[in-house]
Amino acid sequence: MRRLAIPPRPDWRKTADRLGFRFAEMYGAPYWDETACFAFTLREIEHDIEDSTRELHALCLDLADRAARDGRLLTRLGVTAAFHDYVARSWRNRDLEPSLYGRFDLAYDGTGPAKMLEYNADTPTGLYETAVFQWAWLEELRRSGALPLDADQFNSAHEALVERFKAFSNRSLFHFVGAIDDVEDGGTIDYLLDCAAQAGHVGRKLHIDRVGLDARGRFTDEDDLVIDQMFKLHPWEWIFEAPFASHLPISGCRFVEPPWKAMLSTKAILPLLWEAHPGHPNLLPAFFADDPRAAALDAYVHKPLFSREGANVTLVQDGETVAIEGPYGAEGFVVQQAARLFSSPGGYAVLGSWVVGDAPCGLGVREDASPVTMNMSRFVPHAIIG
Amino acid sequence: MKRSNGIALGLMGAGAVALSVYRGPSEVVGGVFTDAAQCTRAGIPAEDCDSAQRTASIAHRARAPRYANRATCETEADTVCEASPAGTSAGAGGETYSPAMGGFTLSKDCDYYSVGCAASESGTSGGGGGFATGMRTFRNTGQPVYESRRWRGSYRPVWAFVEPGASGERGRASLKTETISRGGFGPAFGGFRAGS
Repeated sequence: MRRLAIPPRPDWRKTADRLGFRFAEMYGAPYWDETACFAFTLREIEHDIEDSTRELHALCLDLADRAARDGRLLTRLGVTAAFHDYVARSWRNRDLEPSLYGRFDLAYDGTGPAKMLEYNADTPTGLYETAVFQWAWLEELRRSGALPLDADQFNSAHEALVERFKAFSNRSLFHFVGAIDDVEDGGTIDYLLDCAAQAGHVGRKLHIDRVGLDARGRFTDEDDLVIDQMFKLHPWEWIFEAPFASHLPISGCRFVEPPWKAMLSTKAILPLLWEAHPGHPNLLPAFFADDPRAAALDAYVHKPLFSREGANVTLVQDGETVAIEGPYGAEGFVVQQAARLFSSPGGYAVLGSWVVGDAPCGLGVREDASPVTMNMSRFVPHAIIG
Repeated sequence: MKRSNGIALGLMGAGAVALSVYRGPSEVVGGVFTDAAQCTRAGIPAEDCDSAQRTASIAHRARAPRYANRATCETEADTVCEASPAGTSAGAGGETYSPAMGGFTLSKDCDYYSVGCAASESGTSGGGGGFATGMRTFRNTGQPVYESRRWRGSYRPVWAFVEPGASGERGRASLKTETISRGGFGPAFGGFRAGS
């Protein structure tokens, strides 16, 4: 794994417009950053990243399988007792409630095994820039000769998504729900809607605030049409707390991601995976914060069970403390041993390794001046060279 | 190859966009072939080229979208259109128009093109039916591709076409009901985006 400084394409912003990439800059700062790229060898990609991702995905499914049969484990995962049956039933019914996607965040610097930092199992974003814009970047650089013609990329996410959408029913409208007016969440929803259309679905966007309810407990859209199938870019732990939550089990609505992903979209999986597989090469030691063993870690990250974009995360390493403020943490914390991230004058890099269905299929690298990745991180494209 | 063969965007780009993997200035194996002869000249056994072209044509006849008239077809599909190929389940009610097949590719997997693959498996000799050229191993199955009118030299596979009339949402069975309450699904944390 190397970081190569390269000249950006002079007209990449025009290309971004043409390809619908509306959040190449966010919050007044560049997000897409092609002044550099990460170069991996094929062995690093296939052995260290793809195989490790497949392995981590399997460990997570195993944990979900055990939790669906064990209420105590569901509680430790942070699933509200009222929804234990709903979540467990969804797991047993997962042939009909398949998962679309997820993203593992990995620490990797080319030496030693990739280590799982966390699993964004429920509402991952960063997909469009991985699957489309990064792909188009590579093609242009191969064409111009800036990268070798045989350069490749770990990135079949677009094809995998279109194919995966065929696993979902297309008998009625497929509603895509979330903060559709947010530039990043809305961009993710637009992209997934496009992939769904290519797989034969008729999709419709709906703002999360506009979801309705009918007298039979079914969810509705703004035309009073029943929502049979909903992609929701909105985390399960928030939905479970919302006023309509009690209607979920009788709503008849199929969700993407399905309710069983609530078991995995929590940092509580980190100590539970370590408990089940101590010493696993792709896992970092992790404990619930009230576990005495947590105190024995001298370099560690203290994370809330539920949080996004680094909020409420504290990193203690080499006598220094980096603390990010935020609104989370009421449900408890986990403590995970600090991992060595790829670092360069460009910052710290975290690898986002995508799973579509059950298959690892793509990589997006984000770089940040801070060792805690937040929403001001930059997306830096990658290539497989040599 | 570890990346997608092509990217199509129907809804989110500035108009439909179809991109395919750049195969280099000289034609290399794995690119788009306009016919079996061109495929053979690239060093691929004639038998495999013939089979690939045949299976691509089968997939084209079965899968190419149909439009009521040529102009709609050319606008929505962004490709040259012609009268729909005969011998398919066109249904009753007059002539339809479909994208003209611009060539075919050789594929090493069957995931996206079940029609072409099924035909290839039963229609060619020798079981596995793969052959190696350079670093890649291809199955001798062919997929139809269609050249973009807007981006000449860019080809898209048959699955990339958005279903004709899909934007009209016709024929979909979502039930009409009466909404009694709205806004109770979210958000719990106003002001924070939900993606991560």
